Amino acid sequence: VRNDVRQLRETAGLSQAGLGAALGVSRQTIISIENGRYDPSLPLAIAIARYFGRPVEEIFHVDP
Amino acid sequence: MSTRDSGSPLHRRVATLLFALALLPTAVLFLRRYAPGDMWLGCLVGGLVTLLLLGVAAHRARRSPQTVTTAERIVASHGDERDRTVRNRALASLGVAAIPLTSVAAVAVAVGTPAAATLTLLLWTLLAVVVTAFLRADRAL
Repeated sequence: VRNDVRQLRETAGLSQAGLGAALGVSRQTIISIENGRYDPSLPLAIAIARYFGRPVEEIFHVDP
Repeated sequence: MSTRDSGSPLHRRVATLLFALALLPTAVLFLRRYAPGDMWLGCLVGGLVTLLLLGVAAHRARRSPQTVTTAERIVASHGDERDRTVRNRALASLGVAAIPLTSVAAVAVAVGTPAAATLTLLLWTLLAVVVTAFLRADRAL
């Protein structure tokens, strides 16, 4: 699953550690999500979407 | 909406610590009385080193959760969902490896290989498997 977390985070002027702290996960988890190595659980994906004020499907895209 | 471990309550942590502190001298005294050689000394040193490392990891995870390693967060019950995935993959690998390795060890003992040496080798092999699997999963995720 591709995602736009890095772009949204950078647009918001947040560090990876800052976003991790806001979402209650580690900086390492944010790095892995941004690099596409780790697909977040549904609760975390929803938390990310709510944090950026966007629908989940606008942030996470299923690979064709 | 955090997916981080909320951490066990303080009384549970204290109970676990007290249990570990009571178990260690009990095991040492048991081994000193019934086990050959200096097994008791190995148990004492290994137990104390393990408790020390767990304490250091828990302290670091509580003090600066964003800078500690995956293993430290897991030990301190501060892991998030990715940390739990890494742990589960490592334990799954250990489980898969344990059955054939234990079978080989049992056959080796049955055909006359010294049991103590075989069990020692088995233990170290299983430890190597779980550590390697953990590091691989941590790098992959």
